[in-house]
Amino acid sequence: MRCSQIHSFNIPVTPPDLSALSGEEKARLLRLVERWQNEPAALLTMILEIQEIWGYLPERAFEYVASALKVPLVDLFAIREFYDLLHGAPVPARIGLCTNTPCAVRGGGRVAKLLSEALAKHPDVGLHLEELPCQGCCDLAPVAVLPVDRRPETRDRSVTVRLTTRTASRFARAIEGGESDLFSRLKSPVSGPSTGGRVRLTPTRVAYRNLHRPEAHRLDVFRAHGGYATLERVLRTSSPEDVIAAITDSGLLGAGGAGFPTGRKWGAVRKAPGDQKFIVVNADEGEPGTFKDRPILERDPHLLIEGAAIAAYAVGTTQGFIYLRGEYRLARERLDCALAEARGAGFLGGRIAGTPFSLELHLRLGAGSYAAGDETAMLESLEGRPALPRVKPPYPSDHGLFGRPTLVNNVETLAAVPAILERGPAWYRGLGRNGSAGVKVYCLSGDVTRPGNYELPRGLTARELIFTHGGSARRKTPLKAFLVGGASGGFLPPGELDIPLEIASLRAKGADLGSGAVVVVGAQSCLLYLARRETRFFAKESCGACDPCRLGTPALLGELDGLLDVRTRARAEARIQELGAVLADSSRCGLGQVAANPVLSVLRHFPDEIAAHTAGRCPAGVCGRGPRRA
Amino acid sequence: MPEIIFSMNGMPTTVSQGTTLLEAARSRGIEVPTLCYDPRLTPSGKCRLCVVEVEGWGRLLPACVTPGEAGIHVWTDSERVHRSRRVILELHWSEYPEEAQAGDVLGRCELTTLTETYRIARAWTPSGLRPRGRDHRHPLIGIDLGKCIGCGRCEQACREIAVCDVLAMVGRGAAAHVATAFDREMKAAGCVACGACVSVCPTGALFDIQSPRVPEAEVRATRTICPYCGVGCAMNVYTHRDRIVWVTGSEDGPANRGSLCVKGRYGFEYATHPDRLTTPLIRREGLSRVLPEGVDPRGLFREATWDEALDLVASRLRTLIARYGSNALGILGSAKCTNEDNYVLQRFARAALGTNNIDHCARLCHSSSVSAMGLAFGHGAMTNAPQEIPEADVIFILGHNTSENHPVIAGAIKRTVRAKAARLIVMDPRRTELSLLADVHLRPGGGTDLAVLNGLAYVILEEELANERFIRERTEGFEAFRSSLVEYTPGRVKELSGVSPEDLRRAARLYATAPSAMMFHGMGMTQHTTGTDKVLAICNLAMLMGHIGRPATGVNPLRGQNNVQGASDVGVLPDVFPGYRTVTDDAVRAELEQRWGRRLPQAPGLTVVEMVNAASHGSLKGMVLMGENPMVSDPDLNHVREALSLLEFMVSQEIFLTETAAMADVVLPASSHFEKDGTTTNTERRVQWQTPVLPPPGQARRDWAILCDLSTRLGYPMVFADTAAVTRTIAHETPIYRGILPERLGPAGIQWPSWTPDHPGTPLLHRTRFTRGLGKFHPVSFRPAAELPDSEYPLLLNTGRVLEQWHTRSMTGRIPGLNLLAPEALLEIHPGDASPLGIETGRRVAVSSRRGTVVARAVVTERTPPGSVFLSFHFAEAAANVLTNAALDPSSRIPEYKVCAVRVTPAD
Repeated sequence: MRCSQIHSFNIPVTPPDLSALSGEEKARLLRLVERWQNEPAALLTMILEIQEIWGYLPERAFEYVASALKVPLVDLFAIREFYDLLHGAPVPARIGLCTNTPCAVRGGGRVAKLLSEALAKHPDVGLHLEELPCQGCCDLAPVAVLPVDRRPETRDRSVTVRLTTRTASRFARAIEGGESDLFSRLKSPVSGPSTGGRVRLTPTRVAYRNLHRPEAHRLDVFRAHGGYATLERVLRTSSPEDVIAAITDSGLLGAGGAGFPTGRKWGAVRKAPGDQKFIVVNADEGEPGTFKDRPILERDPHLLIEGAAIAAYAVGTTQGFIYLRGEYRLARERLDCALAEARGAGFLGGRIAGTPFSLELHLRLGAGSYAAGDETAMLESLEGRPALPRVKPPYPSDHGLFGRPTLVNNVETLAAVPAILERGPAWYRGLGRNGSAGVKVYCLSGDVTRPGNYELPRGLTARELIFTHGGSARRKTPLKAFLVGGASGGFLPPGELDIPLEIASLRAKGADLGSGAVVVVGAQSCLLYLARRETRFFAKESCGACDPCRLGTPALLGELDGLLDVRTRARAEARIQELGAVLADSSRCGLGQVAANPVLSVLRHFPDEIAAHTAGRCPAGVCGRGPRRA
Repeated sequence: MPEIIFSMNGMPTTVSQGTTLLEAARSRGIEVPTLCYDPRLTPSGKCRLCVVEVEGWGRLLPACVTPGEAGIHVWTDSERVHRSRRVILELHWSEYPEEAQAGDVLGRCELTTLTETYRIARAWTPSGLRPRGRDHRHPLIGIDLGKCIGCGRCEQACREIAVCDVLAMVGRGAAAHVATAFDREMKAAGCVACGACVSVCPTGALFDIQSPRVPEAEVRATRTICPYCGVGCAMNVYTHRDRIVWVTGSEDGPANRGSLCVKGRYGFEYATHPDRLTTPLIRREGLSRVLPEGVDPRGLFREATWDEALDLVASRLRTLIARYGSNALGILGSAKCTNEDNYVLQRFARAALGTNNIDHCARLCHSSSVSAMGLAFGHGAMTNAPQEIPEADVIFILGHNTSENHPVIAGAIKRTVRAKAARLIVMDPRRTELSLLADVHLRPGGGTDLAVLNGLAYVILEEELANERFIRERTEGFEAFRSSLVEYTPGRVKELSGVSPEDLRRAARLYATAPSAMMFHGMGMTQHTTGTDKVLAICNLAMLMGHIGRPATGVNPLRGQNNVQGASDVGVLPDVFPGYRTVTDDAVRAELEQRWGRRLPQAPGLTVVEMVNAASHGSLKGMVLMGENPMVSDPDLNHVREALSLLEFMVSQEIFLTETAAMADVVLPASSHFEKDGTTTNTERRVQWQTPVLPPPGQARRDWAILCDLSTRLGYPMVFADTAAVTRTIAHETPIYRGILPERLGPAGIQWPSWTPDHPGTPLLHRTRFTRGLGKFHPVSFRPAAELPDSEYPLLLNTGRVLEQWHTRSMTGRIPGLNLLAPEALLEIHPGDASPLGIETGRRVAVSSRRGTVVARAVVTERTPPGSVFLSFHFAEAAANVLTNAALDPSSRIPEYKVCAVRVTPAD
């Protein structure tokens, strides 16, 4: 199993000429190909590292990779064109802005407008605006990614900051004043790459058990507090069946979005026939409004490794991959380091803790695709292809990575495993509320005073999370709506605040717990604007693997204007309902199936908001229909 | 497979397990629309038009990828299904450019048809993301991006059928569209123009540039067989007002299952080219046979009537026989003509003219296979069919560049290798496409293959891998063979051939330990002075392992021309009558003398090169040529020209005034492949019936009919009511063709031997006994090639074909698209040899041997090994055969095309 399983039949007989490259570029390229070419599932990771040589991917480099790895050149081209983080040409200096719902609620749209107007008037500044996917630090909203400075040699270095409308206005004035050093105007200089993903401590200590400790990412600190002890005990005293039984009894559910019972998944992979199985850790945190895995990855990577090792032992595999979001640079460094430490200390590699069990766990990078969050799309990506979800069934538990039985689990899910095995399934089960078992990390963002990650009981009500933990709504504006489950969830009205945050209740209301994102929307936000934004997001991220989603998401966007006119509203509503039903009925993966949820939830729960727009008025004044234009 | 029962639209439905809901529905006549589905491709479940509702299963399911399950209730026409189907079609239709001229050459567009069937409106706002624009950079295949509905069938066809990996769906979401790597021109991206992508495109987004759009109603489709190589692909030829406008592969073709290569799909225009001969021509009086440079050969001839021309031919032939005897005549048949044409020709030669001096170009390609396999097994033909390739565990290619010579078979090999179903061994001094995919690539120095073949046998015996039971029970001569191998140790083989002992052992073990192993060999083995010995060595290897007589296991010479097998089968050879019955066999001769009503010559006649030599010595005085072009195809062309110019009389039946026909005294206009009915026999011994698609132009006539007429004028009347009557006569007189009767030849044809009028044919030869009884081992020892590089001519020249051209280019040279793809002869030279000579890619170089000089353009590439150059033989203006050596293999009389010594110098 090499970098990619594709074996091209379209290989140049004479290897490509690299004479156009400088000596150093050529040496780096050859070194990277040598380093990665026999590593499993490493094509995309290798390409990302090759891109660092030039800041983009020249054809010549791709020709060399294709020839060395016997990968079809057209596949490399398709990969480059698919992933947002891969570039075919030098990338100009830019300001990246997130305008996803959590950021939009906090004025991200106005920030974008201010800057784009200023830059349009002064193209000589040489900065471009780029719309970013959710950066996984919504507690900082509105989020911007800025270059550390303007030197070409630091083009890969950037900082993630909160960029409020006030700062943006100052930037805009500076741009118009012809100032060159924009970033000195930031209120506080940004230091350290760790930004966002703030953890709000709760009494619960499961997946977030170590995050109150400083320096928990270090192996010595981790071990000093019982780290890897559970793994050692499990390997020495428990059978895989015991482990699976305990996880099943605990009621642990997948924390990535689908909420599938973890024990059942493990059991299915364990039972699937096959001498080679895989575990894949889904660390591709990309659902807008979700930033719960980031603190684990950055500050407690050993806990994830411990959980993954236990899972690998339980399902019977010796090979694993962590598929990490390409944007998470600190997480990458910390994981690289933690994996090396764990290997050095004998918690990875051969004969772990002196038992016959061994596990190789490899870090692999995503390259910018929301669709890759789907587990089968992630497997495609690991195999070195565009992240297009596969037809299911077969499910990964039978036919996963390279066609072998594969366990795919979310970071939070695996991080919860050591605590559960340490304190027992009954303890974990008992942590739940309102009939639910266990806990969940909720990512609270938007118009609240205390945004951040909260590890709290499953089944707790939205009201409790938002008001008791999150503090009152920001700026004393009344709460207009709340969004549960990220972009794929739906907007719920204040009347639903007492809904328990658990899967069945939410689904009954046309929403979903999803990855645990809860975005609070205050009165100064326009729901139609937000719904449009989310629809646009789906149209942009739709991968193309099935036609209803590929063609239906842009078509849905095209229908939204119809809601604004009294003469077309009824018809537009009917068409949106119909298209939404087809998307849900016929799309291949979750993305398309839920793509109409934001719009449909607004139609369902906020008829007044629509009516006001139809009457020519945006209640929040952001659509250009109200008194205040933004 | 066990059967399961479920309900579909309320009807109980029984299918075998694993059957998809789509297959189940369609087999019951239930209409389920699709856009991305194609039965030839892996279902992708992409377009979702085929969604069905299964009670209790939640979302709708794509029927194409959902297997049926016992007890479920499936609805293909529920309201939900209709809603999804309609909306998805509306979405497609809204994106489809209104100005686009829908569909393929015939205007057929699956999307348009579906929108009409379901009365679909352009109901949604287009995304504006779909790219537009037409790509006309490739001479044959165009792309119209606006019409690309992103179904992915072309990408799948390129990967799964052609296995070329040129096309992919690129871009996300609604912007996804077909593209090549970095949007390069298709050929530059590695496209071999097989057209598989075009054939699966539902909307005509990929289209055949050279085909005009014609209304479907005015077009006639005819199924026939491809005129080019020996694979024998079935094709549908679309004609419009006596012009061929389009060709597609026939799904029911046993050899190709819908696939074609660039020549088959795009190489048809020659048939209606204005250069076609339409009237008999007689050489003007007093003109030399050798054409001065730069003269239009048409000016050398005057038009004549058939009577005048045939009378002239008859009287000249009669005179020559009277003056010098029958054996002063030489007759060349054609592997491009049908069995019927060739049968009549050999009977004309033997019965009417009284000579066995009859041969054809099979002499130049596989005569060594025919003689060697005849000696070892009893039949000189492929022992298996390429359809068995998917079942092979090891595929061993010897001296054959399958991808360029038999592209459709290469596709089957590539599919099998990609599916990881088979390991691949390639023995070829050049890097070929298949060698790049091989588990072991053996690269013997030019002409040293025999050392390697014996070395493989040595290793097999040394490592005690041989199949002793097979050797004991099915073969003879083993001990002599074993003792002949002593000197072929891996170390010695390395000295002789350059092949490393490790590679030799790996290849030997792979081949020996495979449960089934199929060997394919080509001209790299046969076109040598040791050609027969090499093929004997191949047979020895197969017998050593018992790798013969089983499915996907055997020895398979891949035949070049579409009917080279058949022309040999019906006796266009100097030593055998139809069915390989020898002319020296008194009983056979007596039988045929009775049937044919004439005394028949007893001594075997001359072979192709021997005829040329006899002409140059003055013992051969006249030649009758049917569709052969030795002036490009034979070795040492300067010698050929000189020899032919000495002939007293020469008549050529041709469709063009070829280099050879231009030297004739009389040229008779014949029919092209597309104007003929009759049978051809492909490389796997499959006799297939072909149907004419065009009338012959002008006064052109069928070859066999011309010959019958001529024969009658020579006092030996041959009369056949129609082509089928000739076919029946062949069946009657030829034991292996006894069951090859026109009425029995359906789309699948019949593989000979077919011993009785109701015999089903024989896909597999030598199953329980060899045709000759026991298989016979032949000790063969290594001899170097007749001419090797020296200080004066330091490089070794290898010759062969290129994908886009055919033989002497009399056909492909008249097809603009193919000539744009392969416009000239290219000399491949290794960088290590090129740089000291100051040669770069694109530079014109002179290539000289002891026999002549040609000028070609150089390509510097590692495809050819150091010390060796490669030149294709197609181009008369840089004819490789000016250079080649006419040294002959002693037993098969095949010339050594593959090795001679040359010198390369920059030409400007």
